[in-house]
Amino acid sequence: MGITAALSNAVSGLRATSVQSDIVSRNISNANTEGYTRKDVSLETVGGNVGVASIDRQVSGLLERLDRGNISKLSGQQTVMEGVTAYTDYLGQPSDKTSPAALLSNLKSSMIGFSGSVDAGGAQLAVVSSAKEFASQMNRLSATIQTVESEVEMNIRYDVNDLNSSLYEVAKLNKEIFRAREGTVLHARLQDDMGRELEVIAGLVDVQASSSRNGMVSLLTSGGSELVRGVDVFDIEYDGMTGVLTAGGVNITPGGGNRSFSEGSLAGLFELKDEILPGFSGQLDAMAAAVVEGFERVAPITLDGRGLFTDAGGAYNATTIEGLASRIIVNSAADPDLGGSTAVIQNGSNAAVPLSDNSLALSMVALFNEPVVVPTAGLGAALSLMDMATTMTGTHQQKRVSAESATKATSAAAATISSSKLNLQGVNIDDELQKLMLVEQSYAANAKVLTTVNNMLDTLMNAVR
Amino acid sequence: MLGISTTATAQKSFELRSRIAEQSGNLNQASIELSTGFKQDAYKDVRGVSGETLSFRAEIDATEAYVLSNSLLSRKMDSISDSLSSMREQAGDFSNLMLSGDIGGMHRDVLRSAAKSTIEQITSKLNSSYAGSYVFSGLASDTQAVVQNADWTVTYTGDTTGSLSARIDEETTLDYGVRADDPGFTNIMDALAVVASTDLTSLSDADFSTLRNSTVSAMSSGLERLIEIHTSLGDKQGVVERTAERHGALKSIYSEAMLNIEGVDAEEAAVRLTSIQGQLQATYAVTARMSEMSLLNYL
Repeated sequence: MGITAALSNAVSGLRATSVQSDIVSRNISNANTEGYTRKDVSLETVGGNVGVASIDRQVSGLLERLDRGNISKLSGQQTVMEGVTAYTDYLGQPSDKTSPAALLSNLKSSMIGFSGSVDAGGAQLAVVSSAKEFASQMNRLSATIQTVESEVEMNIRYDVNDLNSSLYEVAKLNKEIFRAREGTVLHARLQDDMGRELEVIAGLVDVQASSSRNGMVSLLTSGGSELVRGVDVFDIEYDGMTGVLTAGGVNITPGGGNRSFSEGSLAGLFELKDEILPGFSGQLDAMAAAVVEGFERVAPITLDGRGLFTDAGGAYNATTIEGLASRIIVNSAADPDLGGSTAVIQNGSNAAVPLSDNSLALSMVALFNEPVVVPTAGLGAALSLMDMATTMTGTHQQKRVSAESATKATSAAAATISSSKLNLQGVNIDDELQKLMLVEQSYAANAKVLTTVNNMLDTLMNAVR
Repeated sequence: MLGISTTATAQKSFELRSRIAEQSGNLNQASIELSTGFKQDAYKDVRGVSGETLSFRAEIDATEAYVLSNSLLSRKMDSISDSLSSMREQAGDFSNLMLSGDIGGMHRDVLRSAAKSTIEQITSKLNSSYAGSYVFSGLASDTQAVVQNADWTVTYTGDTTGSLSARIDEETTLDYGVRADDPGFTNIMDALAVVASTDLTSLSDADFSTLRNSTVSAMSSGLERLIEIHTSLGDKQGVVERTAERHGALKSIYSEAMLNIEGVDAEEAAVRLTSIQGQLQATYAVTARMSEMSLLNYL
């Protein structure tokens, strides 16, 4: 009570406003920092003085959890979409005429022209050229899938590295949070860092995060395998040979058990590696098998019984269909670039066959509409060669379209949550400036109290003197 | 104390940026579609029927190939038909010449030389080629159909295994070949050879009459056969023509079906382009205004 109390009150006011201005300026300067949450100063009255009770982060656990879930989902879908698109880009739009369907159709057209004038060298060459285009596009598509596969493999390793370092970061932050005093600027900052780290992890795998009272975080995969407990990390390891992913020795390979996880870029990569790419690849090989087997069966053009297409020079072999799309080539006996002669597609390497005998050509034209006899790798039963090519191209493109629309749908839903979260946690500069004006007034007022009390004391001193 | 709910500055600008990015993407898509007439991503806009449009395109390709191949075939058949006409005319002319006038007053030398020149003309027609391929030698389109011997007979040198054929649509293979070893030709050529190789002036009237009768009869049976061949070729030309008409119709059906899936309505795309442009301009205006709005301007 008294003048000295007034002095002490004013000083405490000045101190509080300096903390407030510190926080406001932090907020303003970090308005565009990703993962920064707005801080507010809670004041309290301590025996007439004003004091800073705590520095609060403006967060909603629910929104954060929902947002992290969306990040995982979106990141997984995006990964799948990118992997699929890298391949389907080579299939092109229908009007680009780069798909196996378009090139097979092109071959059929050349074949029709050839069947009408089998003795014309130009017509024969047109068939061989179209056949070579088809074969090399199949090789290219197969190589593209292999490239995507090795990219996926590499990205799995990168993701595992990133995940491990993030898990260690979480453990380190747990340690620091444990030491920091709650309500301090440091504690709030560490929690911001934790939030950011959890978002990074959410992009990789979908995790369940649970916070203890003092803010330490435990992490489990969505299937319940432990990743971080306090300051202990369960290391993630990936075995490229077996394709198995483990956390602290527990198998958490996506799709390989119920203790794993199903979203995030790592899940997307595993989906690409284990399901989507092998599916594409198998269907491309089946397409190549249907072509090699079909031409060999209906129209052998060399005396060894090979057709227009061969398995790297060899005959069709039902037990080695895998990888055939990468090996399919035009029979070298028909390829002038390899010392062959286009005439063999007319006479079947038999010089006694008259020049205008079109029986081989007619068999080959008919082949396009005949049912395929090799396994179609899930493309459907009783398909003709032509239908198989269109179905395969359509199916692969459809997979991309589905991945794109799933990503778009998730991204729209995620944007709403993320926007609510950011609005709640983020900084509004105008609002901060208004707070700053209040702080300024309050500072000026406290300073005025100080000078006034000082004047009063001076007056008193003068009176005494 | 009640909290004030605010919009975060970063989020506000992020939203405007993503809206502009999305609208720019749409604008780009509309402008591509307007200029090409095709959907930017046909597979996306027609989910479930993407395989169908590829099939339609394959049908269009095949139909076009048949149209092209049939037009070549049609020209080849025209050329065969022309040769047949002129051979029929020449053989007919000779028959008429043989029948004309009374036997005694006839210049038998003229008849003989007419037989020789008819043989030469028909031989050259039988050895005619279309686009480098002999057309009357069966499947051996690289060999002449006939060779003329010193005794005015001709020998068939072509192939005897089959006849020229072509696939004119997905179902039909048409045999259109005419071979020089057909009895129609051999009857005529044999009869002509007898006349050309006989010393007609030394024949008695009775012998000449016998020769004339047998020649005329052989010639007319040969000519009848040629008419048969020619008529049948004409029918086949009709088939090719009708197939061409059908292919024209088919192609437009397939093209329409394909465009229904892949095509873009130009008016719709233009309207879309204009409306997106409007939206984008409005968003730009809002963005500019919002960035000017700040408490800072009033402090």
